[in-house]
Amino acid sequence: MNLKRFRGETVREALERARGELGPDALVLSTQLVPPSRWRGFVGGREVEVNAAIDREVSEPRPAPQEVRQPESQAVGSLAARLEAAGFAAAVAREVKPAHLASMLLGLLGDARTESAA
Amino acid sequence: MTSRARGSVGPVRIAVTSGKGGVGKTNVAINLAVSLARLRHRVAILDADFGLGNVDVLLGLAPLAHIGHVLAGEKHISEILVAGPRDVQLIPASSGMAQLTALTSGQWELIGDALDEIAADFDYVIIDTAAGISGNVVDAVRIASQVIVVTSLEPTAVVDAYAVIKLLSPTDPAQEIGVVVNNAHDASEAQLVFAQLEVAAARFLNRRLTYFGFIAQDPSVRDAVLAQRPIVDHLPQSAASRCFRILASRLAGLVPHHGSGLRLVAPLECAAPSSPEAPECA
Repeated sequence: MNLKRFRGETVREALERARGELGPDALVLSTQLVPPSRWRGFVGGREVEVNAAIDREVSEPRPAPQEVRQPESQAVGSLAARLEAAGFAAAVAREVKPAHLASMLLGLLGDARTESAA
Repeated sequence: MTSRARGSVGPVRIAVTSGKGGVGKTNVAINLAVSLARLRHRVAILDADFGLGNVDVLLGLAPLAHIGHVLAGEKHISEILVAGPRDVQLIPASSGMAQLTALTSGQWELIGDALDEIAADFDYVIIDTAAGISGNVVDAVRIASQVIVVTSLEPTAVVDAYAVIKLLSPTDPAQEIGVVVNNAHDASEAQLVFAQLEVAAARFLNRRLTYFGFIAQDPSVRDAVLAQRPIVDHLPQSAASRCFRILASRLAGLVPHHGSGLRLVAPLECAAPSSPEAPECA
């Protein structure tokens, strides 16, 4: 496993740096708000620090151990995937049923972004 | 070799390993052992860094014989036991015997048999493994029923702890892997380290980890090491000693254990600023 810290003014910026260096499969291990390293630290600013990792010797991520895979439409799968990508726990993401409207989903994604950026 | 500890009657065998050297693995092992002994358990420590043992040095003991004599058939395991603090019995390793750094499976069988022969005398056997990920480390963990991976905040320690977990995962997927964060500034720092390992192990290895707690950063640890005494005996009121007692209580089942993926509340106490010996831990 390779582990590295990335900083940015926003989560998105730090994530972009992590994915730029470690590749699209980079896994975020933790996210913290930290005082900036430069002069802005003195005026009380904050930076986002992301700890990201990649394990190239391990093939693609395997399913979680206790997870019982239920037959699901592709729509639900991609929905869950998008929610997971937006930072939702896998279990929560899979709870979301196709009945939910796409607009609702977009709202959720928007919330997730603002939450993780906060 | 199968995991002989599980299912069989006898002491609980707990392997302490870390991947990276210098994270305080041996110190965790001896203080855990002595803390368990203070809870009136009968405890032995197997120094499984067979070629380059350190447990005797940290306990201030000078053994005359070591595991090499048992493997050579010169001595019975009961003859090489050395009593340490709180009557913790050390099964010593050699110091500087390269041939003991890579044991054959036959030799491991002998060690397993030897441990079985003294099984009735102990409630816990703490197995202090070597650093690294050599065959000896994996085999030492394999004879244990529980594993403690010691790590610290340093990225190198986290990566190496992950490497050990990765190495151990296929050998026995059912074996519980507990994580102890050593030298942590406070509970939140320790939990951050654990969370990182937990996420990586879950995603990359499909492996659950258990948080066993942390040991507070404490300059008294150095004093105890220099005094060649376990800190739980040398400076029992220190912050680190309190953490060791909590860890031992938890392992001994005195503190409820909330399954896996938990955020334990108890270790918060470890960082309580009430210790006069270690004001830095506040």
